[in-house]
Amino acid sequence: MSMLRNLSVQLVRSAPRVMAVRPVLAAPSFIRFKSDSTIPITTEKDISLTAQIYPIDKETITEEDVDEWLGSLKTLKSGKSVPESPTEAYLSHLSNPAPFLKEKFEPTEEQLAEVEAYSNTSIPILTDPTVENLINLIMRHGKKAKAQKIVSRALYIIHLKIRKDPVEILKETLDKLGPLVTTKSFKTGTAKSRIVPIPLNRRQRNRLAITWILEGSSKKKSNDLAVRLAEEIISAYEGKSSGYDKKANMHKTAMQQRAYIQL
Amino acid sequence: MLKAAGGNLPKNVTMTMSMRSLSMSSPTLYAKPVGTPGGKKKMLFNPKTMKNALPGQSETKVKKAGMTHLDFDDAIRSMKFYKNGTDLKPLGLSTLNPNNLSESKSTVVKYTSKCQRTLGYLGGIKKFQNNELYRHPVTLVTENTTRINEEFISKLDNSSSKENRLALIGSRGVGKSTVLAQAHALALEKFEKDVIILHINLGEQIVNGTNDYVFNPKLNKYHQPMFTKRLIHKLRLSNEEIFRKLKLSKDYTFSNRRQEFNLKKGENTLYDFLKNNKDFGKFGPNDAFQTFLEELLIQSETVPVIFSIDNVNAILDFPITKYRKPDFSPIRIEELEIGSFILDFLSGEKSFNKGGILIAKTGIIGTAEKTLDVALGIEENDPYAKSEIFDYDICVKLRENGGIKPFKIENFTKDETKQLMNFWRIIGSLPVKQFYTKEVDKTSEELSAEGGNEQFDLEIQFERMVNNNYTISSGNPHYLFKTSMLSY
Amino acid sequence: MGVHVFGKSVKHNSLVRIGLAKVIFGLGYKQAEMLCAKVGIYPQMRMNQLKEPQIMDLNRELSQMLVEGQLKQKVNNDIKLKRDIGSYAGTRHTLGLPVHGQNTRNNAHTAKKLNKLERFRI
Repeated sequence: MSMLRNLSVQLVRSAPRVMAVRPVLAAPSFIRFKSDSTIPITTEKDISLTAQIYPIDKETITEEDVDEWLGSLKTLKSGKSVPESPTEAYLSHLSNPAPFLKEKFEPTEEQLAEVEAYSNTSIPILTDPTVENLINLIMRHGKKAKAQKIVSRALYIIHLKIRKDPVEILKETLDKLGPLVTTKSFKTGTAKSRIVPIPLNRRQRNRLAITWILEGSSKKKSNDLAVRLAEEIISAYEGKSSGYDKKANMHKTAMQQRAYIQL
Repeated sequence: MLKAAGGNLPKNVTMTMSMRSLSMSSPTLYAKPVGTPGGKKKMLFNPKTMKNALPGQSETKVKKAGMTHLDFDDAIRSMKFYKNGTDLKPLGLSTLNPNNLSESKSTVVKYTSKCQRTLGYLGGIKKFQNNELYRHPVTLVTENTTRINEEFISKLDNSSSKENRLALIGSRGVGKSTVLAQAHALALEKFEKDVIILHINLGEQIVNGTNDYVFNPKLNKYHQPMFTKRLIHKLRLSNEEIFRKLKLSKDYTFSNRRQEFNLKKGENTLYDFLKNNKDFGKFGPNDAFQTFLEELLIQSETVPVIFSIDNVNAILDFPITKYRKPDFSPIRIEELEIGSFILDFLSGEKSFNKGGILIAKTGIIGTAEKTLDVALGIEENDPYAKSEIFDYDICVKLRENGGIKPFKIENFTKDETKQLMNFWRIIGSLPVKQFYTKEVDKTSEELSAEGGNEQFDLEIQFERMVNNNYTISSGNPHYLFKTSMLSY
Repeated sequence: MGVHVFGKSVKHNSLVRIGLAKVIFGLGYKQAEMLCAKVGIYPQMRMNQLKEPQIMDLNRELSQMLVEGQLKQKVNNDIKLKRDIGSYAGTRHTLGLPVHGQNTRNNAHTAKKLNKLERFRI
């Protein structure tokens, strides 16, 4: 192993070091981290600042180099604002790079016009919220793609049967089927509990209607949920679903308890 | 009855009289023990009461309502939804015709009623092509249609089938079967029904073991009587007009149900032969199909013959069939009568004097197999390929006589996509409406109270939908349909 | 509903090669396929499509094979032979214990169920 290492060391030493010819250091104004100004870089060869200050053709770092570094560091620390030597410039950039990194964006007129065109419009969402609600209620174990497939197929069958926009049909059905009020029982502290009618908002109405549709669809013949769902939605659209009885019952109980309505 | 009574008990337990009286399921429960006064009463078997008497079956089965018991794929085909379709008459669709192809380019056209009937018999209009959307099948004239017209239909009456062999290839759902049906329709229109179409619409039916088979030692081949009978029936119905015109070139005698038939040369027609000859479906050696082929070869001097197979890679990529010989060695496709007939004509060994051969792959089966692809020159031959995915003999045979020319079916262009989507829009299947925003989930009263919707241009929205769906499907009809109709 | 082959009732809508293998003792799926190929029954044929001569053929072929009663008799005889020559396996059979050196502290239920002098009652 040691022999190998010796050999490699010898090889490295015997090979002549490739000396890159570096240009003489340019004026301090040229030395920048990043040029975002309009002044173009005049030199063709773009050499990094570190390479200019510490060229590779230097065999070793001498004492003088270190002295120069420390000296310029001292002068900067003492409060010198404008750097003079390249080392000073380099160090000052390192300590305060912010002005060179700051970017300024100015939109063109076309871009401004485009923004203006969209100013008054609302942002589109991917799917209809009602359909999304149905999908999410069908979804089990987070398998959304499966639920989407079922709903898409069901809506396609609805379209084939009725030949209208199926999403509109779905919305109309849910509107027809959804109950307006529900009842909730509150404990009064005494033996009797109070049953209070409570109005439902749109989302709550939809949820009840969808659950009833899904319950009804489980009574259909087909093994495919898409087909069963389509059949149930079509019959509900025609006013034949069992969900209407449930809705009527709900309304009836609410009517009986109307004395307890809290306003 | 005995089984119903004591089915649950092991056989070796003999039922004594006392046990029987304890049993709830035993029919003797209803009968009085023998010897008790009251006279004999005949016990009748009543399945209804029996069923109720059996434990575990007392609750009646819930009767389930609904339109169909089928699943989605079968339901949309079998429930005759096309009857609800929008009436296409006011649209004034032009018919698919080779003479006006350039005018009707990238428009939706219909088949003529005769043509549609023929395609129906042949099985050219296939399931899963979503034809339930329209009142009657329609098709889009694409670049592929014009190409097949130039490269195949125009050559039909001036070249032999050996020189006119095309294989339709392309990715899944790109419309290979549709182009095949269009080719049939174009040929029927061009020759005004003076063309014979031999079409096998499902190639896998030959090899998947669903038909009976019987050995013919004279031919050294296996007949498939059930398949041949159905094929001949299909061909007879679809080519009735031309078969009635063609006079036989030879005398034929055969018997059918103890009745002798003597068909005379130049007097009786090919239709008579096919109508009266029941040997095609006979379970036993016969030469009916061979006779039919010989007659066709002679008739092809005057009438062009199109021989076409759909799902052809089910045959060619799987040459070892599901059938077995008595010694359990598998039967190869060459050993079947129909199979050898297909290979003879595909290789150009036999050839119709006038006509052409058109085969179409299916994208659903045989994606790993390479026999057909190598034979068509699409893929390089791998000498180390396993025998399951590459069959040397079939490949060599298909390459004979100059080989089969591949015909790549291209996706829809953007213009074609737009035309088709516009057609869907006109018939009311593609609702073009405002996109959903967070505020849109409101009732109509709420919206009207706010002063209605903001300004909205339907045409721009339609254009946006076209761009969107074209990008998603890259113009593939199957995926275009899926993204337009089956995704909400 | 059943089709009777070799004295056994086979479900009417099952494939021949599967229905036979399920019902007939000593006939596996492979053997059933071979039997079908020998008789000339196509792979996707169902039991109710069988014609009388084909059932006769099946019965004839089956009667020449070592299945059902004959096979059961053979197994019984083999066990009996082991017992008669006084082998260890024979004794284990009579004791109703595992034959192949398995532990008997726990389990060994299969052996208790099966290992008898007369495994199949014919």
